[in-house]
Amino acid sequence: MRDRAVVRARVEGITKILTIPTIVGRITTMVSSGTVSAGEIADEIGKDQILAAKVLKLVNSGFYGFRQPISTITHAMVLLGNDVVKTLVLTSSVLDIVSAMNEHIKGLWEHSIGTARLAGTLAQKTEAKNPEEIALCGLLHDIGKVIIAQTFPEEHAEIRRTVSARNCLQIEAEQAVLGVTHPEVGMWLLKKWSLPASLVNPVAYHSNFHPRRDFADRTAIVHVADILCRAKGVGYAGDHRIPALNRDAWAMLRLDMDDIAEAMANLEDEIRSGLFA
Amino acid sequence: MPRILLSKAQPGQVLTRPVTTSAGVVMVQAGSPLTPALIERLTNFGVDTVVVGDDAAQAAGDTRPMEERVREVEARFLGHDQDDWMMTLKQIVIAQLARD
Repeated sequence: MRDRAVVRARVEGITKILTIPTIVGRITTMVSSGTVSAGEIADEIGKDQILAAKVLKLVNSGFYGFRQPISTITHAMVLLGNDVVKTLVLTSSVLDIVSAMNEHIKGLWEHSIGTARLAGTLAQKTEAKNPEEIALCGLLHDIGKVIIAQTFPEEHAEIRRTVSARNCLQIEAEQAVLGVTHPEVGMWLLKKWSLPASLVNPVAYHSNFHPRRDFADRTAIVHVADILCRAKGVGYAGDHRIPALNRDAWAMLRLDMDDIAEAMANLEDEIRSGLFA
Repeated sequence: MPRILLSKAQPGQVLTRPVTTSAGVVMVQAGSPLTPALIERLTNFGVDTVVVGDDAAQAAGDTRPMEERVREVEARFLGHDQDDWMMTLKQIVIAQLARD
């Protein structure tokens, strides 16, 4: 087990450790500075065609249910809000680029997109405010797993061995091997990126729900969406099990199993129409 | 599932990935069979490459026998036998497998 402060310091230095394209570093700095306009950030994203295309693909993939295709980053920022687009850029870069580089977390991108899509659907069904932000929380929720894989490769190998030997949840293996878990690691990173608690809390507490915390409503949605995505077998979250449902989280959603069946069927349709292509 | 040049694509092959615009908007859905007319339209659209398979089953995804897929779902729900909510969820997942 590692010293928590040491683990945290390494996580917080992640933007230096990760060999992600310089553009992501620049955008991260722009976001953290808080003094840069949306237009400037849109311009910066637009310089990287692949990154811009990835973000637009997410925005257009039924993720947010716009009728008209959105063809520019600036347009996406107007419709979704700057925070959503900035976070989409950061998340899609880290998750997508790193999981493409790191074969050990193959499938995490699909799990994240599936969870995001389900979270968005559940948010609409519960008439939650800002369903697009809640979908984003779904996309972000396992970002700590990427960071662990990338920052602690030896421990991550041990975590994977533990998962396969015990057939346990990855989070249980993380606790045993590293002494910290991916929701906490994700929280450290997102706080370092200066993201608001409305995005940080659902990531930090999706596996440890409590109804009295701030943003419990959206944390409940992410918690249930994660379970549904695993149940459906979309992507790979690092283990072959499904975490137990938190009853308080489920009660907070005020949904029934027909809603769940519909959300799962929607996901299936979207996968077929190219959500992951 | 190879990505091939559109000029090498043959009518009767099936798209296993959708054809999208550079902005990611789906133009033609996965599972669509290529016809001479579709190949011509894609060519006119400036599409260079497509991902194809030989038959519709491959395009639809999982082609393993249903029994095997159900067993995999059962394994995922290990440890939740006493949880009614989880068992209902399992039934939903299995019912949707059968819809494929």
